[in-house]
Amino acid sequence: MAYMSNNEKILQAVLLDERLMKFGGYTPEDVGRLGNIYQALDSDNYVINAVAQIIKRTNEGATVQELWKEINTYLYNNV
Amino acid sequence: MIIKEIRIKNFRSYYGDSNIFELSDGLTLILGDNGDGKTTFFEALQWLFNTTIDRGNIDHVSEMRKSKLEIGESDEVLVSMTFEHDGEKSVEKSFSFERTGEKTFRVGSLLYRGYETKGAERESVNGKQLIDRCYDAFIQRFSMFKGEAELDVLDNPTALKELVDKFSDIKKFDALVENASVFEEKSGVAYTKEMKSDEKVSKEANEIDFKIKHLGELIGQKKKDIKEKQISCDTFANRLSQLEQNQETSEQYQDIKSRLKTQEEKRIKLKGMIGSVNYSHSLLDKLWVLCAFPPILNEFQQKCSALSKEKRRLERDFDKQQAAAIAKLETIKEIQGALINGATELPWYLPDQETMEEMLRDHVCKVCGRPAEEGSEAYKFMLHKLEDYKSHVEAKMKREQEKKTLEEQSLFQNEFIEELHNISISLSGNREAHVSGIAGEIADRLELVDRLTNELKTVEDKISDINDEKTRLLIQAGNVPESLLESQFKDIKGLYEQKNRAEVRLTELNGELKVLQEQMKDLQERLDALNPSSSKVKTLRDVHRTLEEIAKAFQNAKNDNLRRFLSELQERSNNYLEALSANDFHGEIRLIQTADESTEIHLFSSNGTEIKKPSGSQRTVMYISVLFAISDFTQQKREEDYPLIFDAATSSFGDSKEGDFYNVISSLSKQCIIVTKDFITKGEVRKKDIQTLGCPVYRIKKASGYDARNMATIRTIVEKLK
Repeated sequence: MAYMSNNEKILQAVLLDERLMKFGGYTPEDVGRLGNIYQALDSDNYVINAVAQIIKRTNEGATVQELWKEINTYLYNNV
Repeated sequence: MIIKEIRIKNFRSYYGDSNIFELSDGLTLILGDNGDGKTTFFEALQWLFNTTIDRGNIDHVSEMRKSKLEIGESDEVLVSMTFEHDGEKSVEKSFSFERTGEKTFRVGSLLYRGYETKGAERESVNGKQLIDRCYDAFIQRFSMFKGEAELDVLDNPTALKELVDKFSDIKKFDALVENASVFEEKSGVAYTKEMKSDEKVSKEANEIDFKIKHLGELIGQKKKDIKEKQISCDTFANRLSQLEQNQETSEQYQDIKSRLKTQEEKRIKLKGMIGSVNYSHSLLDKLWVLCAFPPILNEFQQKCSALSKEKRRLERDFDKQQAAAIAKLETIKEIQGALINGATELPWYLPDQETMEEMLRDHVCKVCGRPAEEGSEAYKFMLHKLEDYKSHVEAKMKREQEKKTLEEQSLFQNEFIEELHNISISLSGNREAHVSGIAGEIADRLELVDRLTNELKTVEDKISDINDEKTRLLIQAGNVPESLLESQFKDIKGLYEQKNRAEVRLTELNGELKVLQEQMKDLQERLDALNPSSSKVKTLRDVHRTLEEIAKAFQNAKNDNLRRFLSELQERSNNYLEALSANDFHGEIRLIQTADESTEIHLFSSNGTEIKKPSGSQRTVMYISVLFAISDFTQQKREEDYPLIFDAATSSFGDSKEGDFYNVISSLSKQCIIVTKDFITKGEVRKKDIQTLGCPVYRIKKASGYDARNMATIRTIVEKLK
């Protein structure tokens, strides 16, 4: 990630949490390979994908209810 | 934002329109003594930047300008600034005022005008919006400081928290952490609900869920208790720390007060001694007017003596001549004739005139008894004898008269010389000695007054030093009121006991919380270990676990972000601290997070000991270092730098520190405007010292010829020294 927007900085900071990496089964290299938040939203890893959704949609101003519905549905279908 | 020029017109003591400051993009120093207009300069800038007011204030108008306006005439107060902020811009704030009566003025509305240069065009824009866009109130709060005490803005946890919030992106994390936490909770509720309705495990799940809920309440309450107790402990610790510091400060204050009193008494005594002799009165009362008299008296005495001597010599000569003349008169003897037989004739006065005349009348010589007829020889003889007698009498009378005349003659008719000589003699002796001593007495007095004046100066210097010490102590103590320092703090022991009890209870509560959390963990494991028949429950459990981990990761990321920000701020602050302290001991700044999520600034020695009472200058340098570091962040976050403007921020510095400090600041690539009375001694700029500075220096001062009691005579003049 050459230039990082605030969303991407936050995404990276959250995804590089050791415990989350262990739980989600991905590596720092996987995180490093994410060019931007849209690539994270396309990720097959549901942890990476869910984190990216929370960040993007929260910053877009989605309500808690809207986002809960989206996240819950996504995770329910992908875990 | 880089300020290039500031212009102040008719703002308080800045009379007229010639008050212009051209500022460098590094350090610019503005030097002024007390009352010269330093704070007015700073307040003019504050006034310019304050966009919350809409009306002019007559109190801001130059008294001198007001006094010179005729009724019906008007003028304006204006403060303007030209600056670089993504291109050249300028902003000015002004209001008009008109004299409507002897003592009445009408004040107009405030006008904000802004100008932006776009390409070759200079466009007029809304001045108020321009200020808010380029130098908003938040940035002002961390870049403009009046007095050393205001630097402690960073001691205010709220201010520092706002700063951290602003620059650490922590606010953005707040919403994410909140959302993730809500999702975790919702997924947990959904999972538990589904589990409890599962045919196979519902009974056990309900039982565990009940326990989990109960335990959750206990844990919630325990956390609340712990937080409250932690706040109590912090409060006790802060109060104790303040009291300890105040107690020590109080002791130092008492010591300073006692020394101050001693020196004040000495000053009064010395002033009394110096003023005990009134020179004007002494001119006559103590005959000091005669201090130059001894040589005159000496000359007078010599002249009197010479005159007296000369007079006596003349008198002696005169007396001699007179005596000789008298003697000559006395030596004229009657030459007596001789008779026929050679016998000596009778003296001329025998017989006397009466006898002669009787004998002539009787025509008979009654000596020899012979007749002497008229015409006879005998008669002629007696007649001749009578005439001879008369001529003798006449000659004797003449001689007597001449002698008397001679004796009455004197050379000098008056006694002036004797009188002068007598005065001269009367002025000699004790009186002469007294007059001769006057010059010595005056010299002694002046020498004594010189000595006393020197002593007084030393005492006044000491008083000034002690007052400075007192000021530093009060600044160091966090501007504790003097009245508070007067009182003694005896209740420390009680506070220690309370703090100890709170700490013991906090340890107990943490232990109890740990036990409850272990129990909760067991219950969660037991719940998770249940093997529901429904695959939906299993999926919801996985969703919940995923969201649980994600929520923790968001919380950790938020904490890490804050930690990293503070760490970077700390590192930058310490870089500035090291540079600004030059060769002085400076310690190490640590930014410490407290239990209530605020941040405090502390100074530590490199061996890990906290410097609880840094000196005034250490504190100032510490705060300025943090402010410089913050300024770096403003530049980084907003891609614009901001000036730091200080009014009298270095009053706790000694002369030796000033030069180093300003030279370091001028070498930093950061715009800094410092208004100070440093480099001024007894109203004069120490030009030699400022020559060593590598920055522009302005001198502001009151124009001469003012009346200290009349504001309308006071005007600040601006002079660029280098």
